Amino acid sequence: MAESKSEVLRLENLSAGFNGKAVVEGVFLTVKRGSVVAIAGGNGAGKSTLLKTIARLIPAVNGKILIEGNDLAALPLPLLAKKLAYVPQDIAASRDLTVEDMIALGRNPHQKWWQWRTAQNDKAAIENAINATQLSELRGKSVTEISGGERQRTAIAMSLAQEPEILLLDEPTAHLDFKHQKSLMHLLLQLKSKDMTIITCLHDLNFISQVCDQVLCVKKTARGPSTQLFAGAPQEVLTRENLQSAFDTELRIIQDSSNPESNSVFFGL
Amino acid sequence: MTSALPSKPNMALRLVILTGALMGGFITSVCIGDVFVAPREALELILGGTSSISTPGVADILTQIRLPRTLIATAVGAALAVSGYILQALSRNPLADPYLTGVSSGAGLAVAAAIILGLDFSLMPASAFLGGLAAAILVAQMARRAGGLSVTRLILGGVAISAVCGSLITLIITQSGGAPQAQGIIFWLAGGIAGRGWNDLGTLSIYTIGGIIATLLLSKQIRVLTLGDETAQALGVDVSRLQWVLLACAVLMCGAAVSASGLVAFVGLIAPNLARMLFVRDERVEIIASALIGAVLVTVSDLAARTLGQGQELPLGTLLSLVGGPFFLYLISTSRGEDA
Repeated sequence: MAESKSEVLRLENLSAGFNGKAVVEGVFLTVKRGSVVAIAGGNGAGKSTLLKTIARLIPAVNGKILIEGNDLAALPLPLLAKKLAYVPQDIAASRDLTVEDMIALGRNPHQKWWQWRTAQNDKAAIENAINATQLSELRGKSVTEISGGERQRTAIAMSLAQEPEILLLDEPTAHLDFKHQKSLMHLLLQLKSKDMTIITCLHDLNFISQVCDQVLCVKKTARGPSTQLFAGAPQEVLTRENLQSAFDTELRIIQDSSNPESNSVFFGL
Repeated sequence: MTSALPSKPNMALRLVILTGALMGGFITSVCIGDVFVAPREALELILGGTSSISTPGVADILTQIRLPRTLIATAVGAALAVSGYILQALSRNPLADPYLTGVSSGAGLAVAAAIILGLDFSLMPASAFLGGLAAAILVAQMARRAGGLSVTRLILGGVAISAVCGSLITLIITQSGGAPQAQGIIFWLAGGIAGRGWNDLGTLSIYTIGGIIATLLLSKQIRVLTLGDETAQALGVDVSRLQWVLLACAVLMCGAAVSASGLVAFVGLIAPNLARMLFVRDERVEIIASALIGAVLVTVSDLAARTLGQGQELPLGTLLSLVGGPFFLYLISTSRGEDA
């Protein structure tokens, strides 16, 4: 499809941070529709800050974010929430809602502000989200009683119910066991096949190399803010030299001999 | 498991019981006093406008004193309860209420100033509202931090504002040189609805009904806000605008209540907490239940205030604090110390 090649998001010399002080600066990135992009880097390098800035939860310190060619900062909030969904690393479960109630809140940008009733298209979106995240057995449970991994899947389901064009995930694998990490990989690839664009902060190089089309790596500099260390296709940029430089530690890359195509990256002592 | 969840019919039954309790309390309050009136006669008079009461003056006592007073008690209770519900939702803390957040004392100071300046009584709700709003804005500014309100700072700031407003009220009273208005302030500070009539009900009921309707309309957004400011914003909610609108609703209702009844503490704290214990997982039901519980509490307390005292009325606010204080301690000892 020609359309799937179109540019959906562009970061132009973006600086992200808090209260006008940059945590990350000088980021350039072009994201095509239907691609999966990972933001990688060491602890405190500003991955989450960058993601929150793209979600417009915090204003950009400098530079520009263009969404389908338009300035992100000028987009009305309700429209933004229809185009872009954001899943935090940990979602607050201060209120005793059921899993299904929480997922239903993903419909908020598509509903009137006073509207509680779920229309037919809302119901369909909620059902799709529950099925995609395999939460049907938990739908009646309270979000205060489920595990961290289950809550993370609930948060992802809520963002899917939002039916966004771009999905932003902050460390989506943080609380997931191997089985659910693997199903998340399948889910992301499935969403990608439906032309959804995904940008995610990730530590797991194995996950990145198997699922992502692009990886952007940020690294702290001696003078303060992090900068972009490298960006590109995982096969090209996830080299031993790049990774050692990114994480300031000795690394080895081991290819799975039974599947040389897999591009698996592991680290060992 | 979700076994702790009451079923839907159970919740409906509880709402019916609450409504019944309010109606019962209301009728009892209208009937009991220095002169006793049979409930049937009272109902005939209120609903039908025809009176079978033969004793001269009794019908007037009912329609001109007890009925407006009971209606005011109902409205004050509902307004304070929903105001408390909003403040608890805003701060994500079950301990917040119009007092702890400084709104009541700000309203109180403004009314005290208005009384001493000899302003017309019709201006009381407006001055209470402005005072409450000023206090709320001050506290909110102090509690403001990147991406929302800090609960700890909100309550610390509220306590500080309350202390300052309390001192200023004392200053006004002591420096008034024994003016008759000072007596009025002291009486008013203890909280009570004695001597209020139909004139006071108009403004109060408009603010209360308007505030409750606005809160019900915003109930879905209140639920989204429980997910945290960032998640709410990502779901298309203009978080700071919503916070200001909710704060304005809380201040309006609280200000109207304070101007009608003086400082009546703890209703705003107890009613929403009871409502959340009795009705889970539906903000709309919780808001209605808060209003009903608050209305029952103040109506019954006002009845007790004017009937239990030996010859003289007990201060309503004092009576409620006597019950509210221990309940507050109980809440503190059982809450999970969430402090973000």
